[in-house]
Amino acid sequence: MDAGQDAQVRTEEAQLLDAPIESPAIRRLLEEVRAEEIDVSRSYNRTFNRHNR
Amino acid sequence: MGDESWRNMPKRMSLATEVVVAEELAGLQRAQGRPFSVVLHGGEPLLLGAARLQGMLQRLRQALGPVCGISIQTNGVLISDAILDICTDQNVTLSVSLDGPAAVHDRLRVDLRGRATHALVVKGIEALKRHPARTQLFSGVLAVVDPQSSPEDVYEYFKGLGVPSVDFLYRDGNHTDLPHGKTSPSSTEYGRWITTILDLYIADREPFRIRMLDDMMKLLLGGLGVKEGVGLTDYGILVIDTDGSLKKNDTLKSSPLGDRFDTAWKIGDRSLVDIASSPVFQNYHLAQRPTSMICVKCPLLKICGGGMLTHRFKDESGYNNPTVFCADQQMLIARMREHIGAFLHPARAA
Repeated sequence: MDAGQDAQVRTEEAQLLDAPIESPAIRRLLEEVRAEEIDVSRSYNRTFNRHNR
Repeated sequence: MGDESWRNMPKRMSLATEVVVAEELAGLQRAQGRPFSVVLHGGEPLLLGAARLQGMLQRLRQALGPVCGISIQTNGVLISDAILDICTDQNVTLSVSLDGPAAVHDRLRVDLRGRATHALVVKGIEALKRHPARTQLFSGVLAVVDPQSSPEDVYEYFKGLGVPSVDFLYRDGNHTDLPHGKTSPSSTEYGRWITTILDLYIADREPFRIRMLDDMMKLLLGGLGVKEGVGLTDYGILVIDTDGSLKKNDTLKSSPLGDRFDTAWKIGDRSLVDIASSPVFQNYHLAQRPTSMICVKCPLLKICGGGMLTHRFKDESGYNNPTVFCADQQMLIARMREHIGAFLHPARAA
C-alpha cells in the first residue's frame, strides 16, 4: 500500500469512526485500537520496549 | 481431561522457596529491563491463608516494584474481607473461576468431597463486589466453556451477576483426545457456542468485557492482542510449582508430552536469567509458533495464532497441526467479520 492509498484508507477509517456505531462493544474496541495507534508512537522509547529496538 | 499432578504437590510453597522465588524474579526483571506479570494460580492460592498470603505478596511487591502486575486466579471459595484488604494494600487483582450458573458450574467444579461449590464461589464474588476497592481488585471471571450448555443462559447469568469481564476458555483437549463436547476435529460445537455469545455481546447495550472476543476483534481491526492463544505475540510463560520446580505452560499437562523440561530445574539451582536464555527454554518458547503448513499458509493466522500449543497435539505428528478448535475459530472469525466488516483493517480484510 503506497502513501496515497494509506492516507485514503485512514480518511475512510476516520469517517467510519465518526459515524454512529450502534454496538457499544464495537465502539469501545474501535476507540481502543485508535488509542493504541497513538500510544505505540509515544511509547517507542519507553524502557519496556528498549530491548527490542 | 482433569489435571491430577497437584495431588503430589505441597499445598503451600515453603517460606524458604518463596524467598528465593522473589529474589529470582527481581533478578529476571532487572536483566530483561521490562516488567512481566506474576499470577498465583491453582491448585488454590488462597489455601495459603491470610497471614502467609500477606507475607508472600509483600515480598513479591517489594522485589518487583509497582510496574509488574501481580494477580491471583482463585476458585473464590476462600475470599474474605481480610484477604481483599491485603490484596488492596499490595495492588493485587483477583480473577475468579466461575463457569456460569450453578447447573453449568457444578457439573465439574466440585470440592474434594464431590460437593457443589457454586454457592460458595458466588459468596466470594459478592464479597469482592462489596469491597470499597472492588474496581481495583476484581478483574473478572474465568469461565471454561461447556458447549452443551446454553450460551444464552450463561451470558445472561454473568450479566445479572455484574462481573466486569469474562474470559471464556475452551476446554483442554487435542486431536487424539478430543475436548469435552467436541465430536471430531472438524465439528463446530465450540464455534456455535461462542458465536452465539458474540452475537449477544455485540447486541448488548451495556456489555461487560469478553477478553477472548475483544482480543480477536482488535486484531481484525489492526490493533494488538494480549491474550495467549490468539494472535502472533510470543509469551514467555514459566510455571513455578509449590515445591519450587520449574515447568512449562501448565496447559501442556493436558498433552501426552506434558509440561516438564528435559532438565528438571528447581528455583535457586540456576538463576532464572540463565534459564530464560538457555537453548532449552528458547526452544520451548519458539514452540508456541505454529509449524503446520495449514497454519503457515492460512490467512487467519494473524488472528487465531494457531491456538494454544496444547490444543495442536496429535499422536502421529506431535504439535505440528492446527489447533483442534480450527473449525470453531474459523466459524467465529467469519461471524466477527460480519459484525465489524465495515471497520476491518485493510491488511486483515481479505
